[in-house]
Parts: sequence; C-alpha cells; structure tokens
Amino acid sequence: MAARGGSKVRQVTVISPTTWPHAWGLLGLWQIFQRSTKHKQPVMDLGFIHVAHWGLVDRLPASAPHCRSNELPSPYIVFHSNFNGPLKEYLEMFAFKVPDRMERIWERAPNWPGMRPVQAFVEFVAARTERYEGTGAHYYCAYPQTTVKSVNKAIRLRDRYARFASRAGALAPEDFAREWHAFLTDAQLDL
Amino acid sequence: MSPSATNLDGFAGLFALEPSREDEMLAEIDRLEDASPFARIEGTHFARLVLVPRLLDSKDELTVGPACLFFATEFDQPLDDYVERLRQVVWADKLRDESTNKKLASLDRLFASCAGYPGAGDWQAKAFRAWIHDHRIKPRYSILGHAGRSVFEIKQCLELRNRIIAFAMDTDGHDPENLKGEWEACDLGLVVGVPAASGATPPRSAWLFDGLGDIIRHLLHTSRQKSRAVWPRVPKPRWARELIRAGASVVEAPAIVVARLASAVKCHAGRTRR
Repeated sequence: MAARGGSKVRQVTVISPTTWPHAWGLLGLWQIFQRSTKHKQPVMDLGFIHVAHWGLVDRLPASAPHCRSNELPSPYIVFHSNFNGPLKEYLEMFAFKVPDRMERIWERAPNWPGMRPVQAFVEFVAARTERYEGTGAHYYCAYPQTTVKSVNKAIRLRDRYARFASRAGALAPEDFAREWHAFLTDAQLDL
Repeated sequence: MSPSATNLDGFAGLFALEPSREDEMLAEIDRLEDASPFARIEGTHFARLVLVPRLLDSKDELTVGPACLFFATEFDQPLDDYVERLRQVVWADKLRDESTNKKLASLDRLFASCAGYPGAGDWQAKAFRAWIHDHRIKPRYSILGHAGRSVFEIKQCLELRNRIIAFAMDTDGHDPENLKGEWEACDLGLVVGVPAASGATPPRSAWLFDGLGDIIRHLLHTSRQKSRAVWPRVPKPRWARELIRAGASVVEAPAIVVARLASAVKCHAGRTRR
C-alpha cells in the first residue's frame, strides 16, 4: 500500500486463505481468462495498473534437500500489484468495473464482506495489506515518478515521432515546418 | 542495459524464515531503504520484499506457518537470466560485507535469514537457482499495463518525450529554415522499437494440459510425499524418469506418447521421401 519517497507507484500485497475446491475453480477460470485480452481490457483501459498478479500457494518448500515441504492447512490466494494512485481508488475501480470477478476470487476468504457496500470490500483488502506491509517492507521501482498513462503516452509518441523522423530529413524547410506542426497537433494528447 | 522485452510472468515467492530471525530480517529490510540493491540488477521494473509475520488462518488470525519473506519482482529477460544477475549482486554484497565492518544494505544477509538459503557464490549458482525456483508462486492471472516493454525502452521513451517537449518549446515561432536547421542540429534521438515478448501465448493445448496437469500433479505430489516415508525408492526405467521429469501426470502422459509417435512418424516419412 506504500508509496515511498514521493513515488507515484504504489504496491499492494494480499495473501488470504481459501478452500481447495474454490482454488481449483479459480485455477480453471484463470486458465481460461489469462489469455483473453478482451476479459482484461475493461481494467487495463483505466490505465493505472502497472502490473497485477494472482496466484496460489499451498506449501512452503523444504528448508533442506530431502526434507518434506511444509504443507499449509489450506491453499492461499496471493495477490500483488503495482499501481498509481491511492489504494482506496484502486480497489473501488475493481469493485465498480469487475465486481463479479473480485467476488469469485475472495468469496471463500474468512470474514469476506462481499462487494457491496464497496467500502467494506476496500476495508477488507486494506486491512489484510496493512497486516503484512505494516510489519516491514521494501519496494523498488525503476521509474517511480511515472504513471502507466505516461509510459503508454511516451511509447505512442515514440512511434509517431519515428514515422515523422523517417521522412523529415528529406523535406524542404517549408514542408518540414508544416509536417512538424502537424506532428505536434496529432501528438498533443501524448505530450 | 540491454533492450530486451519484459518477462510477462515476473517472479513471486514465499520464503520461510529460520526460527527467531524476524528481527534480523526486519533490520535488513529497513537498511535496504538507504540504497535498494534492485537498482543494481539490470532490467528490474519493480521489486518488493515484505516480511509476513504469519499467514492468516480460517478465523482471520495470523497463526499459520513460520514467518516468511514475500519476494516479488518484475523484470526483463527470462527468469534464469534474472536469477543469475540477482545472484551476482547477492554475492557482491557478501564479498563487500566481509571486507568492511559497516552494516550496509545486503541481500546476502537478508536471504541468509531464510530457510534453506544455499549461498550465492559462483560454485553455488546452481543451488541458488534451484532454491529460487522451488519457492516460485506461478502467476495464474495477470494484468500488465505496459506488457512487453523493457525498462530500457520505457526510460528511452520517457527521455525522448521530454526532449520533444523541450524542442517544441524552444523552437516555437521559428521560421521554417531555422526550425529545420535546429532539428537537424539537435539530436532528439530515436529509440528503436523492441519486439513484444515472444512466446507470450503458448499453444492452446499446452496451457489446457498445464491447468489439468497442475491439479493432478498436486494430488500425485501429496500422495507421493505420504508414500515416500513408507516405500523404498525403486530405480525407474529411463522412459518413466523422462515422463516424471516432464511433469507427467495421468493426463499428460498420453499427450507425450502421442507427441513421440507423431515425431517418429514424421521422421520416418522424411526418410522414406529421401
């Protein structure tokens, strides 16, 4: 949940128990939807998730070779994400955009409050995050002052500029000036 | 920095701590705030180290398992390459710790609090890689805001954007001759596009088998663990070892046999044609 040193990138980590039938159900669903861009598009369109991963863990590896791994009493859903903006808004976005998916993921977690009211869901996740991250955590981001939107804008601008630069050298000054201004007009949303 | 595409899966792992090492881990994590070692690992987008005091139980209390370190990172290039770079940084920390009395941020001391840490020396590279792989929590569902873009590419694009803005402001109102002259004189730079990460979507059949295989592998793994203590190990024939190594389950085994047959038929057909 933290954003250190004026960084625009925040983090969230939630590890919550579930049941085996539920975990298998999630595995199946995730297998289907992991490859579906259409399924992810509504969330990606909002443009403030750098990365979000969901996974499952049911054991901790053995502490030495030839020892048994430590089986956990139930499988755990591991969710970790890097995003821009406050955690509350981030979770509200999930609650409004994809409430059914969030419900399916955490419905078997202890004390699950449901997706409505949204505030209860936000508090549910925030409390779990705080329980882990409040103890001790270190975060690193290679571009802390950058948002997802500005990264995507910069990439679009680079592509646009590459097209402009490939033909600009051969243009006469008047044509160059016209093309340059056209480029700036086209790219103004990405500047 | 090399401009290779980002790894779409990243890495996440839960590392159990040695008993009573929580305070040491906490102190090490605090020390990292001064200078993150991940800045020294080429191609790291994000990284996190979170001390998990206990896992939640079914009553929502922190009682389950030992204290753990949750380590997650997003990076460029394949996992093994990243793990090797990580190992080199960890080893460099270890060597530096030995040559100085100052307690500086050290990934080596941090990982040393984790159970089973094999060390990160050059001769321990294989064990370190295996240790990291053993702890991996495979991502099952991911949302990526700028998938396939490397740290190098992102930084270059942001830099180019700043330069274009600065150039546009500096040359505002210039006549065409001046404008072109300025543009030619000032090198705005152009980043060469990086291809999207290859192999992002495996063949449909592969991931379907992967999903079913995971469930069955879990069942087999559990029963194998239970039976290991009772039954002595019997040497298996080569084909059986191969099947097991490939993560074979009752579902995957026929697929492997079919693939073997298909390649044999293809090979035979090729020879006949010649």
